Amino acid sequence: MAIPEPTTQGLAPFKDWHTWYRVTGDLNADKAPLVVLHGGPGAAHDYTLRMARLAEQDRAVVHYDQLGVGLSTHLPDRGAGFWTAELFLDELDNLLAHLGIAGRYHLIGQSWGGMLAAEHAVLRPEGLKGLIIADSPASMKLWREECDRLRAELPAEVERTLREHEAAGTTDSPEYRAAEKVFNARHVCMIVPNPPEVLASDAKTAEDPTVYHTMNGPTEFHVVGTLQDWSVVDRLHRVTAPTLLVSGRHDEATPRTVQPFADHIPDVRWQIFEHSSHMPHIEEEELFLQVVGSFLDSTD
Amino acid sequence: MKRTISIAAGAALLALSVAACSGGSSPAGPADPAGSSQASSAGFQEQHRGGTLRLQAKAGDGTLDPHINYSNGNWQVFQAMYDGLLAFKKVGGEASYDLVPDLAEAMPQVSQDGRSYTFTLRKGVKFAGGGEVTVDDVVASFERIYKVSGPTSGTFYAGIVGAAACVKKPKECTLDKGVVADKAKNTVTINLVEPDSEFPLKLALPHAAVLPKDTPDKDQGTKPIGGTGPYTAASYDPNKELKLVRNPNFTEWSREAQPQGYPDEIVYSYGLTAEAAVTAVQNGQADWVFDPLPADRLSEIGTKYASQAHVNQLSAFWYLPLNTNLAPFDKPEARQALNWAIDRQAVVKMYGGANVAQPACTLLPPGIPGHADFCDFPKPDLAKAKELVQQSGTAGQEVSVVVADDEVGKQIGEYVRSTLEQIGYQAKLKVISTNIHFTYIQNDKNKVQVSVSQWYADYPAASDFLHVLLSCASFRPGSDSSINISGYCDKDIDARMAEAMTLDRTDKDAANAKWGEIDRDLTKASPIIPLFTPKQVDFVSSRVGNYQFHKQFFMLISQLWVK
Repeated sequence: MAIPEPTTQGLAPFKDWHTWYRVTGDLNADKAPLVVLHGGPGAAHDYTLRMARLAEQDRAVVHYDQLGVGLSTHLPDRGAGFWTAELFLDELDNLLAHLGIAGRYHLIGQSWGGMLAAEHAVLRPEGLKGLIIADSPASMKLWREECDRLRAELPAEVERTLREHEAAGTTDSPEYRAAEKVFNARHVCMIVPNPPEVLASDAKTAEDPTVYHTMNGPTEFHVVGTLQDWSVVDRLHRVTAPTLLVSGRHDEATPRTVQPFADHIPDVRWQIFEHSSHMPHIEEEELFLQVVGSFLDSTD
Repeated sequence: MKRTISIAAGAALLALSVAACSGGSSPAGPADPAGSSQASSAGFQEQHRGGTLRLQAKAGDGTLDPHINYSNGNWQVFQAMYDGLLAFKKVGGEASYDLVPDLAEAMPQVSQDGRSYTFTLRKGVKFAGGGEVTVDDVVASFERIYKVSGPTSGTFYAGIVGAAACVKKPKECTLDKGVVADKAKNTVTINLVEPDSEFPLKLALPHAAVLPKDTPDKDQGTKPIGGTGPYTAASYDPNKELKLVRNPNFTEWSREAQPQGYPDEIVYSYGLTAEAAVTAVQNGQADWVFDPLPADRLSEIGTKYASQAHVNQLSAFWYLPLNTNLAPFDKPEARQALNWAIDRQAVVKMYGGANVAQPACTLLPPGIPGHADFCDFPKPDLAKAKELVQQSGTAGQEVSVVVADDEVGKQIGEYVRSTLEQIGYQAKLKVISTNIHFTYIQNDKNKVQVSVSQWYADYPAASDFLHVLLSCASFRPGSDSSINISGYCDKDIDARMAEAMTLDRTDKDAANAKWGEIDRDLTKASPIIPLFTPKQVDFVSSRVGNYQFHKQFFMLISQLWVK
């Protein structure tokens, strides 16, 4: 399906930098706007653009590129101490204020975006009407354990290639990248070849991998960055916003990885998309729009 | 495209200015978006089929020939009469800017270099006059665009291979290398001289409608042409009435591209003033009025008839083109001075108030890709304006404001004249006939320094505003068709626009960000002073249901219920 054209776009000043954003629909519409937090970190907004179709349900949808990627300010010389969850939380608060929607909004975070959304939600912001955590882990320990399990299920030669190149520090080699594609086709996006917007995000990450490599690591399943010990599990009880969990049956964010959200968030429901991996918003687009749209309508 | 405001309706707008000054109440509120959304998402609802839809306009809007007519009113009607290879999705709201296959079976296969679009034609679609649509009809229709010297043959479709020769010698037009049919495969391949990411949008416009191949190669005027849409014209007298009846050969092939219609007949009557038409709608004698609603009726409509009023923002703007090649506006400071001096809120009041327009800070209206949230001239600053006039060295010079003789144009013109006087010029107002105003202000031989004009999106693209209105190529000295009325030419800006158009093929959001930057730089340079973005106020009778507002073609006429 076509990705809707934006109603407007712009740059929100953020400290000495700027955050690029786009809006589909009217921020002043009756329904509270939905802000999309992309993954990565450092993946750029492109691969989440089909969520803009929620604007067809008369709700504004805000996409933005987090600092360091895409059309927002790039800072390739900054190190691990700079790229923190707190930085991105501040950026989100800043954007909400800039758009004048801090008093009333929904969040949907995909992958790392869901981790960020959870970090935001545990602070109990007044304006957060509904929370959607899509394809996200509640802790990186669980994520790494489950990725190891999924890797073990790959063809033996593929897994060996990955292991050897990781040990040798040659994760940018063509062999490693080819092996990575096997994992991705099973657990990241089963639509192969990937849609243009997914390729666009991948290209932007490759163009400037600062944030992704610093916080995550070279791939989805080899997490050696600053997020490797991250967890929000012990704070989830603080989330007061109605919450929808979204994940795919074949998601790299496996049911075990997502489970703590369901166990500890008070007002929660979970939709597993049986024919999806990490991108139900693309892999089962119509059902995703229906499920998410209904949830948002119920929490306005 | 330009839209002409009727004199009668304009006259009525004066009243609201007085009412507004005296604190009159607000007119129509917005439609219930949930209602629209629910209705538009449903399949065809048989229980609402039938009846006659009765539309009113002061005057007909020109020829029924879709390859020639370039007016808002008929483009709206044409949505129910004709089809092209692609269409803007026929739904209300944001999705109406989406492209979908129409007469084509699917979106085209595009070659790697972006120069070749291959469409497979649907089978089984028929014209109103009989006969199935074939690839020959497609080829003939594209050639006809040039043979009738269509108004966009030299612009939108100029990039087709062979088009340049066709524009020069229309009668001899052949596109044997540009629009290539393969009967065996039932495909049509359109080859472009250069890649054009906007080309699919242009294919969804009425000017690219597919007509029967034997349609004569001249303007058909009031003579109906049988199209493929759910309705066809039974008769048309632009002084009296257009009557649409069901196309007996229509069978819905794609609900998104061309939904079957609800009314059995659509009768579009001409002759009533907007005042009289509003009364007719109130009395249930008419179902809708095309012309801008009289300002003195807005309050009444917004209160007593609120449930029948629908307000939607348009992808358009009213603006002041300043002649950058003629004193005093050949000086950037002089242009910026006027930009600082104009009180856009005051101009909005002249148009009818905040419910029918909103002040514009940018050249690209909201909803056009590339529109960005910035406002470098946020509120009038007369002191700053006077200072800039002095700096420019143009103080005391004579300036004429040229406007059309409709009431709104005159009112805004008088306001601009008065503002110019305030900031240090000797200003006068020059009023000319609405019939010639648009061509008059385009021709630089007429030495127009400043005028009042409007631009409505041809299709949703930044280039349709910035490139069309302000690129070097759009300035044609000595021509009545020089749409860059300002005569503005900045090679650097042109290069950046070309870059943005190229980038659009690979990264739309990055391209939009660039267009936003270009808009901002142009706004600062002030060859054009944006005034406001108009809103469409539709007033329907109490019996009408299923109102949907299409961002490109406005109210979806064929989808209205009258029973």
